[in-house]
Amino acid sequence: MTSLVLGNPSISRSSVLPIGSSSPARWISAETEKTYRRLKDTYSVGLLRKDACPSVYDELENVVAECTNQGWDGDEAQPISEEAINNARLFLDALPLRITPPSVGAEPDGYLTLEWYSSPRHLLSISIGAENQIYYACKLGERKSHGSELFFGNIPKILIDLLNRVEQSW
Amino acid sequence: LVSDLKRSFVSDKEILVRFIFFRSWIRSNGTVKQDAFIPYPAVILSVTQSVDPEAEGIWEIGKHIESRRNELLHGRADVAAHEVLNLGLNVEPAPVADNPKHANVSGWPVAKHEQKMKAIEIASAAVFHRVP
Repeated sequence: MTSLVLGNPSISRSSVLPIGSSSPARWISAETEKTYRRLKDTYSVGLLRKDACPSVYDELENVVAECTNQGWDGDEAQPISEEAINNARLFLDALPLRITPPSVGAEPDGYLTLEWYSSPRHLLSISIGAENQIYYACKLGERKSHGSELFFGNIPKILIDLLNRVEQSW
Repeated sequence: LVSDLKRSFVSDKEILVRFIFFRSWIRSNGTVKQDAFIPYPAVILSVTQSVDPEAEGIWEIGKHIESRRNELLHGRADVAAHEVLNLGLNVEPAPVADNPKHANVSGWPVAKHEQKMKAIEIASAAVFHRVP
């Protein structure tokens, strides 16, 4: 959503900010300014991640390049769809900069995977496909956590929490 | 009773071999990702049963599959059958023409995230051997 607003050249800052001199108008203007700055900062973080961690985007491209044909696993694996690739990019863009970049992989059912691996007992794997549902499974010592979450560009809080815990185990 | 019957198809002491044809399934530290153990296209996972993979010419089976499928064999992941059975999964022999030791790991849950969790457990117990 952020990139849609800020990346759209037809929407300038002046078109976002209201004009008025009354007290409510000034308040709205100030709040809008704050929101605009927050959006801009969020967008910048995305840009910074891409600039600071090009290797994960390269890895994504390399994995995708090997998964274009049916049977890329030596069996009957599904090719990775454009939608899955776009969703994976969106997810990487949305990752907080402080989070270590994941390792990229693919599953035979056509999902891309992002994995944070500390040890066989501490890891998180996320599956991203063509739909807006992402699947995760996580092992933190004896504790196991798995489920599915909707994804529309913002990383669900539970995944941020799990990422933080896996990172703490490094 | 049914699960006991299914368990009888495979010895706890057997090794289940999963041939790896996709490079990104192998981590840089030589371990295997859960991605390699996701069941597809049916909800079963193809493996090869063996009591002693090194002695039984398992690589020959892998090389034979490689030549037939036109994908490079990178290695194999060995996991003890009891690790798979302890997850509530079944191992059923399913011999095919070019692999008389072929078997299917079945009994997977339907939900993808549950499959991932079991695949993580299998991957954690697996030992990867690079192709000689």
